[in-house]
Amino acid sequence: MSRKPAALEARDLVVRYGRRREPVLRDCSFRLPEGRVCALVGPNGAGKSTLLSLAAGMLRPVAGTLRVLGAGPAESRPRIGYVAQTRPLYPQLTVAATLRLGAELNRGRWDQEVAERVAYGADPAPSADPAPNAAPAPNARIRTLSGGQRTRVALALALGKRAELLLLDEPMADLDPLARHQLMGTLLAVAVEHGTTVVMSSHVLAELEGACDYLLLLGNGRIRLAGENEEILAAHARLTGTSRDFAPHTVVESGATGRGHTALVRSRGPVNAASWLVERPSLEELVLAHLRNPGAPALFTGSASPTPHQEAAA
Amino acid sequence: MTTLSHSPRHGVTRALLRLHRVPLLGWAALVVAGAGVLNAGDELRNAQLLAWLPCAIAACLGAALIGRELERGTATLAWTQSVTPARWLAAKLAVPATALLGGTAALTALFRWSWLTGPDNGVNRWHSEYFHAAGPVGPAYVLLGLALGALAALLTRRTLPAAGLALGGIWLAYHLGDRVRSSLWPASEVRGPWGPELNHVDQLEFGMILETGERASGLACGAQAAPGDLATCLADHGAVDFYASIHPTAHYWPIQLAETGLVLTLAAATTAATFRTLRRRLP
Repeated sequence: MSRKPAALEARDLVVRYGRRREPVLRDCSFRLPEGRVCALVGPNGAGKSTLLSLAAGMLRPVAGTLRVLGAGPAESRPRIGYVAQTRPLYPQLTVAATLRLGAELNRGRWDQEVAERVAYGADPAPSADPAPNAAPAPNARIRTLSGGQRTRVALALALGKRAELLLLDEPMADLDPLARHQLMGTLLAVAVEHGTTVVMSSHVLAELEGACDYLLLLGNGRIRLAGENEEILAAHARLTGTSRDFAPHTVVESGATGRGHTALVRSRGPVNAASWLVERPSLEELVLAHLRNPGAPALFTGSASPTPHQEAAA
Repeated sequence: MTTLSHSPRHGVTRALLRLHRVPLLGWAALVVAGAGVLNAGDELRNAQLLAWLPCAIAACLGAALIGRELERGTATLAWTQSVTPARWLAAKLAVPATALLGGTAALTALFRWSWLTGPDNGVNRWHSEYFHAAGPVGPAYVLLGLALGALAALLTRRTLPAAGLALGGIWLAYHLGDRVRSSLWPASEVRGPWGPELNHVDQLEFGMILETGERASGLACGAQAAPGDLATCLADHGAVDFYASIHPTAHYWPIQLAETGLVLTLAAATTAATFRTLRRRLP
């Protein structure tokens, strides 16, 4: 079986903060092939930040293994870029000094041009722009920046590092739509140019849907959906009919409507268009249906299933 | 692209020098001010300041430099760059250690010079604060303070508790040092009545040698009315002579060096524990 090498491969990850607390991640397994732009979606507290922190080598799992770019997270640390949710930056430095810090801590990898493009925007930044998401001036102190500007600088550090895997925790959360569009454009251009794998987390799929071609849905510490967007979409259908019975398909969510009974199903075999009205649900609908129904079985597409043990050994 | 002529280690050091410019400049200003104070002012107070202040500053600096990074999450930023967290920690300790060591060593030399060249006011060189302020022991305790601060910060992940723990630790080490100092080198024994030259040695024990050859510690003739009556006093106690267990001036440097070595060993062990804590925290 020839598959693209995995950027991330998790097997039975368990993370728990404090011995008595409920685990944040429980038996979490998945695989993310290289070169994908992946949306890591889930409600607040689902374990998204924990998973990214694990992948960045900032956290040790209680159990299970995580391979990052074919090695342990610690070995791969120089090859990843990580933007934590809190956007940690040194408040006393200016933006330019922060980029210089990136250059000094990433000698031999650093791409000043990309970093500046992300931090200052495509156009040279006006020195004192009042708009909160406007690109910051090089001589502005980090402590004076707005949330959106901090995001720009944090992203600039991660992209300037020329990472092979970018782990971005809620990258778009505090950006206005214009800045979001522009930064996403820059991000994807850099990712395509260098074949970078990107994992972006959000609790709002709509923020990421246009940019991503891969989906990881986390619910209650487990992976609920994993795979290419199209394959996940193709595996599901919304059926409406007169009967309550949707066999042989697996029902994710069902309910009564004015027209009879409707269900979001994972199709097993061809869907008989004569018995049901068949619609294609959107990715957003799929995500919501899976989160509303924790009992629905998880779906891993071929590329997202963790390699079986014997194959990994071979 | 930046040039590749510098090694990454220099990159980290330069980055940290710029990052911690304010505390480093503050320390430099304090050293200059300290040098000014040492040239004037009360000698005992100077000794106390020099014995205590750099240690306390080092403990707080170690706690603050590491603790604030953990509190703000900037440690995460540093650890996900292309330098390993261990190398980051090494630079993070080496930069303030160099500054603290340089400043304290300069002040110690200055204090020693002004003390030895100044008027002799009969002070005992073994006096705890003077012992710290005038020898290599002082800078060694400063390094221990820094290491304790860094370890406490990595353990607590908070600046203030870490600073409190580190200050407590260095206070304890200081007082333990005072206690064990005399045992770091074998003491000498002198016989005969108390003479003024004994005011300049480290007095460990004094008393009388009894007729049986036994040593009775603490027996003295302080209550004797006339100094000439020492023989009577001895006879009254059934003793034949006075004795004192002391460290003469010749033991000063061996003890300075032995204590310095001991404290540096402690500092090294603390630093090793700091690296171990970091390794255990990260995968």
